[in-house]
Amino acid sequence: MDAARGLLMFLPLVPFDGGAVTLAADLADRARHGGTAPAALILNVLDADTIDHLVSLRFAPEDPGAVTDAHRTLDLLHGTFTAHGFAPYRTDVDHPTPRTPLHQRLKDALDPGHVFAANR
Amino acid sequence: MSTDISRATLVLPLPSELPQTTTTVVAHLEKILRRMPRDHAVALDTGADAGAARADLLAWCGPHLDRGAAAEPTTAPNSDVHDRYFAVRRATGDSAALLAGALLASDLLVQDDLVRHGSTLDADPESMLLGVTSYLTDGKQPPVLDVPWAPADPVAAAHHRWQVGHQRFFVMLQLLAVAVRQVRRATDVAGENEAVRLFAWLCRSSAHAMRYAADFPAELYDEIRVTMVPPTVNVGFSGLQTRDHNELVAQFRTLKRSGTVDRLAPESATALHAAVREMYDAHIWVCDRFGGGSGLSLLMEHTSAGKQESGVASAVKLARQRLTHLRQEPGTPPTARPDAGRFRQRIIADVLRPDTPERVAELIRSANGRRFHPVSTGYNWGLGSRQPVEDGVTVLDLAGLNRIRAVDTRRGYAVIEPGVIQGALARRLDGTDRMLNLTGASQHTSVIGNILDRGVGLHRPRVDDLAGLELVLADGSQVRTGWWPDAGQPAAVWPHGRGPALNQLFTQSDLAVVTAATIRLLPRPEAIRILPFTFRAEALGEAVDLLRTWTAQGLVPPNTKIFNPVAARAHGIADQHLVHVCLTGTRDLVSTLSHLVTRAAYGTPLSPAPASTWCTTPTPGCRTPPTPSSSTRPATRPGRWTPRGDC
Repeated sequence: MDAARGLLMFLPLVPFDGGAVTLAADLADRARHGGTAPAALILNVLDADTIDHLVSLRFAPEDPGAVTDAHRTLDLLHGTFTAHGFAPYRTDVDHPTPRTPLHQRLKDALDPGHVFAANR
Repeated sequence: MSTDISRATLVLPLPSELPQTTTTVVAHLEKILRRMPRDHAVALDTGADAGAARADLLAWCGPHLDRGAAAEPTTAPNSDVHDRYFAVRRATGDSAALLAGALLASDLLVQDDLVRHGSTLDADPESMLLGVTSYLTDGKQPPVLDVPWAPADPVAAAHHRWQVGHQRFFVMLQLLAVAVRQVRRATDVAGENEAVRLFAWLCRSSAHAMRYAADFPAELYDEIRVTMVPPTVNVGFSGLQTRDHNELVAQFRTLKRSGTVDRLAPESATALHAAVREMYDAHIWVCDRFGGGSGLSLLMEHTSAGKQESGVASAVKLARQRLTHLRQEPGTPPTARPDAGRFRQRIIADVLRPDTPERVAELIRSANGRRFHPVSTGYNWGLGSRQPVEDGVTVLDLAGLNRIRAVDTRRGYAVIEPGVIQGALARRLDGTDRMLNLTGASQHTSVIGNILDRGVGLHRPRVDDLAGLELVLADGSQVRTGWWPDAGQPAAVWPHGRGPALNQLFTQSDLAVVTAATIRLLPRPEAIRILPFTFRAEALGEAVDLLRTWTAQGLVPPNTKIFNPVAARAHGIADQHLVHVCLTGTRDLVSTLSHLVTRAAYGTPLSPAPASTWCTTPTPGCRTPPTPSSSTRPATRPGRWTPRGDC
């Protein structure tokens, strides 16, 4: 999988609402950059209020242009979805979750020597 | 096994049901050897009593060896043709017992054949052909046999050898498929070395088995070849129809994809590769012996002229293809290889592979300025796989912590380590009234890894499965959070306990290393059914609102999946969205809900989708296609793994 396929994932949470889901589909389409193919979206209902989106970007891993376009698309997905309140609930290595002040205090208390690398 | 050894049928298990380790096979070997009325070693000897001992044991095998239950015909009918031609019967049941019985029966048949007909080959001083049983059980090695080929009826003897030799080879392929699993499951370097040593030995024995099958004068092969054509068998009859070989190749692929090949010590990887090459070299030798240097194989005779190649050339190509699965990428630690997302390659300081929680604690205590990035199996595809965020860190590869420490199906929990993959745990729960909240990803993904990244299962978010964590903190101390079973105490599983609930502090977290977890197991429903619907893109908002109402009102559980037209293509749907509503419960409940949901969809944008739109490629949602005429499908074979899992 890692060697043969090109795959990027973006996983935002969206309100379980027709208007919000339609907007999310539109945002996913508009974020496409360069030659990036339309994303595959799988929506997982979590409860009556929340629906998780699994946005998959496939690309040719041996084509540097396709890799660049796919990563640019991923950046745009992060930017536009977050701007509309649809923040990701899982993140990739290039978009780590920033520490909140409380998290920082916990980190300082439990791992003052930073034995564990940041994030993930 | 039939007692007529001129056409003795060998009973073999289905390759898909083979055991995970050779331990159970060896246990059955020892058990059968104890039960045998004559000494198996004597029967393989060359003494005066050997012939009578073999005859007695061959007669004993038929009524006394486990024959299992006859397996159903396969969906690949050519495999059945292949089995029939070589007098192999497939059975279900205790696969380890079946395989052990097949090996012992094959021992007797091969020795009987060699004594009666002789050999055209050099002697086998190391007993690589017939020494398998003694190798596995630490028994007495058979004596070296040196009887020249001199049968009374050479043609009949060649036919017999072709059959008994192939049967022997199939037994060896099954043992290899078990042994290669053992390599993958090894939890430490010593275990890996031992597993590779066994696998390599069996490979060499398999090479001898292949040569033995062709151990008759080459000019007799024409007499054999004419029997391997229609109507006796299919057009283009080929060894590629052997399901045991297909299983072994699948295991090779898994070995590579799981990262095991690259994880092996270089000398072990070299030994593994060399052993398999020896086996494929034997195949090339057989092809060459029977005119394959210039002649075509039966399969190639029916290949278009432009693609035809000699038997030997085909065998060489086959060997090259198979060996690619076992080639170690030299000098590249796992993290330095590309990830599926093609993120920037982080610089890795080191990769450490502890295999116990105590070893993890030792490494953390002696960090000495290192920063650690723990990974379970590293299959975080699309998000960076096993890469860290930062450069210069030491990867703590926890794949070696792969024990399922406990399973309690009554109270509904399992205690597992980070290297436990969801396929393994699902198989462990096979046949119980509990099941794992699987995800739609590969069976090789880590259960704990996905929980800690807050993945979503097919029935609920994976964090809802988390009951307790075992941790190593930054000072090397080992602590637990949440709920853990107390020996002898029937406490109910409840993750929140008393006081501050800390489990979630360590999900998506950089505050500790998780070395084990208690996870909750779902009750297995009596029936599972997926109702597929489609709708057009312009109806997305209306369809989602409708599904939301169904979910809020409890008509459907909160686990519906919606696939946009790109994702729906994998299910054979063109230009439409696809919905999978998953219903579970008693058969009556699922049946009633199915009618209610179908009725509720009437007059809405949701149209029932044909059964053929069920999973055609691995995605979350279903396990086997429903038949439109059936009502509900009882969950009679629970937990059997498929890439997409239950429901």
